[in-house]
Amino acid sequence: MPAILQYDFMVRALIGGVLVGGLAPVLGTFLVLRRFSLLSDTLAHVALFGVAVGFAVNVYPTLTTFVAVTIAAVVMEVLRSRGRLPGDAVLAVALYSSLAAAVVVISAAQGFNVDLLGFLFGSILTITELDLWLLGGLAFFVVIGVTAFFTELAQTSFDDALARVSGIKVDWVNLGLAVLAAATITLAMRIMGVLLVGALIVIPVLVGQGVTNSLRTAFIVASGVGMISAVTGLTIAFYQDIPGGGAIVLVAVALLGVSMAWRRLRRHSS
Amino acid sequence: MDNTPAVELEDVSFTYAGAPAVHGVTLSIERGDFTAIVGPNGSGKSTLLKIILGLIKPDSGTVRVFGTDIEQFKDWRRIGYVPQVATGIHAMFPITVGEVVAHGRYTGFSPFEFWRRGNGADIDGVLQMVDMADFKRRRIGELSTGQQQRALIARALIRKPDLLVMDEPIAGVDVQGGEEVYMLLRQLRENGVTILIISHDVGAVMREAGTVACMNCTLLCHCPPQELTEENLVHLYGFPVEVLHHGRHHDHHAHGEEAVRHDEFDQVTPHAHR
Repeated sequence: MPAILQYDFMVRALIGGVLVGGLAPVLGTFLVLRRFSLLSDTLAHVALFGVAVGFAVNVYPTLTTFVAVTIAAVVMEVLRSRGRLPGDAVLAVALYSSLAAAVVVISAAQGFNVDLLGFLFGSILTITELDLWLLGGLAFFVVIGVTAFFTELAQTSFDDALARVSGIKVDWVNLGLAVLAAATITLAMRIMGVLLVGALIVIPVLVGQGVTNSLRTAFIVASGVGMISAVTGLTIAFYQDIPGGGAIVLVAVALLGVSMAWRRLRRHSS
Repeated sequence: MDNTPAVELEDVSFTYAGAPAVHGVTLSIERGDFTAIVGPNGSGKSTLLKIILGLIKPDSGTVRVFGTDIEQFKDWRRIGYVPQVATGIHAMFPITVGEVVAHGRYTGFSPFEFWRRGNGADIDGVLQMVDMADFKRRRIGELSTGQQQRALIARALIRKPDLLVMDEPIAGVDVQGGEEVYMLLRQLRENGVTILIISHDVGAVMREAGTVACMNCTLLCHCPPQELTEENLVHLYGFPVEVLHHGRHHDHHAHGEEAVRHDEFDQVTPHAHR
């Protein structure tokens, strides 16, 4: 048996990595297509505030994080859809205000002793069995939800006016997507870290977009690239003793570079 | 047979950024009619279209589509909509022409749609109607504006709509492509489809439409094109114009002179001493 599989924490990390790597680009596809990629980054910063609150009040931090991120996602979607503020301004306000709040909470609760770097950059040592069960449940829910509502999600991403005139409840679809993105970011953050979770939501999607003309195929390719990046990155991280989140993102970026080169070659040859 | 108008607006107003975009519009479009909304840029044409489709809620007035208030309207399958541009049409959006057209089949929640491929005789049929059969597997964002427009028309046609609403359907389409679009609209009208379009091509509108609605924030007139006068158009566009009526559907007198026959087009041209 390879050394990497002889450690329980690595087995948990690999399972978690496959789930997160497959899951994040699924939702990322629809965020990127709406040109709302930075939502994931903003929600990740809100997640840091949720973690801080969890430790400050001594509640399971995943729960407080999920609550904080979901509320933020819903509020941002409502503000964006009603045109109260431009989409990018909504993201900027949420990002900076949540980061400021996190700093204040961490500073105020000086008593708790947390490895903040682990939350910022991810730590494969922190993944528990409960995290895996939660990730597995979320993955099941997302796969069922996204495949069942694929047409609605695709059409609202393509053009929301066209989708509305087709009879799609666009506001509900957008709200559902925001909540699922919130849950995914909450759980993915344990492996990827606050600062890098957005990368796994966006980069595999760009690979999928570049290599195929079909939305359905791009969606599957993105999910596959996410899983490959996670397993390869974690393996490199284990043997080279480097942070898992960073390794996963660098593998994804390398795959993006390969896909762009392949696309250019294909165009050149045709 | 139900003779309720396809579209009815009663005293509809909408203000955007403090300025009236649409003011006091009352308009009725009968079933089977081909109505064109014309007017200068910023005259509220697209806003009016969005109000009719329920995309914008008017500040006051009522909108009924097939006799139902638009806020209660649920039978969306009866409406085909062709926007001027779709936000998802860009080079990085991975979606084929076939997939875009397949979206037009949407009639409600269908849990296994993901597993169905974007194929079907109905897709091939509408793509042939708009001369796009060879582009079914091409990424729509990589096609020309005219081809993209035809794909969106195919998306609307696959719904077999009773009301087809189009915002500038031939913008970016070449002369031949535009003529093909109008030929298609003629066929649809013969099959009883109600057509509502926005167009800047007044010449084509005068030739093709059954009625013309002149918009400049308010509805200046709504009448058959042969009843449209220079006075109407001067009021609409704000400068003197000359109307030459000719074409396949009607002869008409302009400037008190005999109508000048022309192979195809009516013309509306700026007057020399504007």
